Amino acid sequence: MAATEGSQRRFPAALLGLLALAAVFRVAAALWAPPAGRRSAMIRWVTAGRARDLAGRLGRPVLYDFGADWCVPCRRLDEEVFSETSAAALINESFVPVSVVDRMEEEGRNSPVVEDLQHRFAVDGFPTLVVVRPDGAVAGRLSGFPGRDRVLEFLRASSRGLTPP
Amino acid sequence: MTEILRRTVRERWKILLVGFALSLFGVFAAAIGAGSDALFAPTTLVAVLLSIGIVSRDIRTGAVQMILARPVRRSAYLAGRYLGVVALVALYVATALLAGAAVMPLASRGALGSSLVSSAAGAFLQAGLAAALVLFFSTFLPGVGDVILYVLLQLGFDLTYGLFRVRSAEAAAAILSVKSQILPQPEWDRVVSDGRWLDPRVAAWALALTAALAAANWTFSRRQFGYGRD
Repeated sequence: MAATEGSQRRFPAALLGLLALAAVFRVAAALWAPPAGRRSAMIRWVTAGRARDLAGRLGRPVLYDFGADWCVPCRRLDEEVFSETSAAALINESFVPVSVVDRMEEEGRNSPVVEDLQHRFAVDGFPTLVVVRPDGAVAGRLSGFPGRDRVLEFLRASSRGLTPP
Repeated sequence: MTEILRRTVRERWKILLVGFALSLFGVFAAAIGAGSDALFAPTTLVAVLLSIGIVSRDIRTGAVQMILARPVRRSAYLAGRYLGVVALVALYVATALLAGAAVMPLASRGALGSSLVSSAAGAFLQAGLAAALVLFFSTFLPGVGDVILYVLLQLGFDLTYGLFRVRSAEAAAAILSVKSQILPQPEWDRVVSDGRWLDPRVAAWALALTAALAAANWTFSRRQFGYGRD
């Protein structure tokens, strides 16, 4: 009877194996997961710290792309503009692109760099594109995702130093 | 285990009717062009309703003593209970999916089709975690204590986060961080549609799910049962 009782209460080895697998998966995901954010691989994003220096040396404006992981229009911007070959080429050749990803929703706070950039450019919604000339003056700003064509028009005008209507 | 699963489905399928009544709002929202999220919004609630007293009721009525009088492992009993709830949740999600596909405006059906499937899969996986947590709570709490603890856990995190958000960003971040480990909510839409399974939040979900099931087994295997009171 005692043996039956003991085997009846035995902890399932399969569940223990699953638990171990889940723990390994947790560590692997923390180590090797792709970086957070919706950055298109076609664009040569640089860090905010390097952007000003690079903009001065190349004589190009910085294109700040403010977004968040949960933001659906940001994904559309990424899919319809940043992942398109001609748009990516325009951005890579005319701007120093910086992706600024908000983590407030996920982590309850942002890094000081993200906080500083959002505050400096008074970002109150996502996505927001801000073009800043090498001398620090804001050359253009686009809030929301008004559609692929409008974004391309904005990028072309900003790259020529014009502020689109 | 199969017998317990069947027993769970037999005992609880009527609760699905409540779920279907709730899902009518989502179906209506889908019919007038709202996204697929509204369609599956009640899924976790349905899973929690299906799991109320899933183990504690058997302990109270003495059914568990009768079941375990036979050569049935306690882990098999728990697996049957859990899989029974999961099967009913799957039935609920499949029905909501079919209803959504039927009423969705024809013009947007193609565009929303893939998001409908990924929303369904996401809602099902998230409900699986809720059912596992309630199952664990049901192994040591009587009556509807399991669901009360689940709701308190959810509310507790949200209320303390709201309280600390204005007072201390550090404390608020810590609360959010703990919540994301115990009650992780991956962006299932994106995970399923983009195939981004190697995601820390998906891994946290998998760990929380298996940990809840392991904890349920550990607690249940150590319990001593008296006679039922019904």
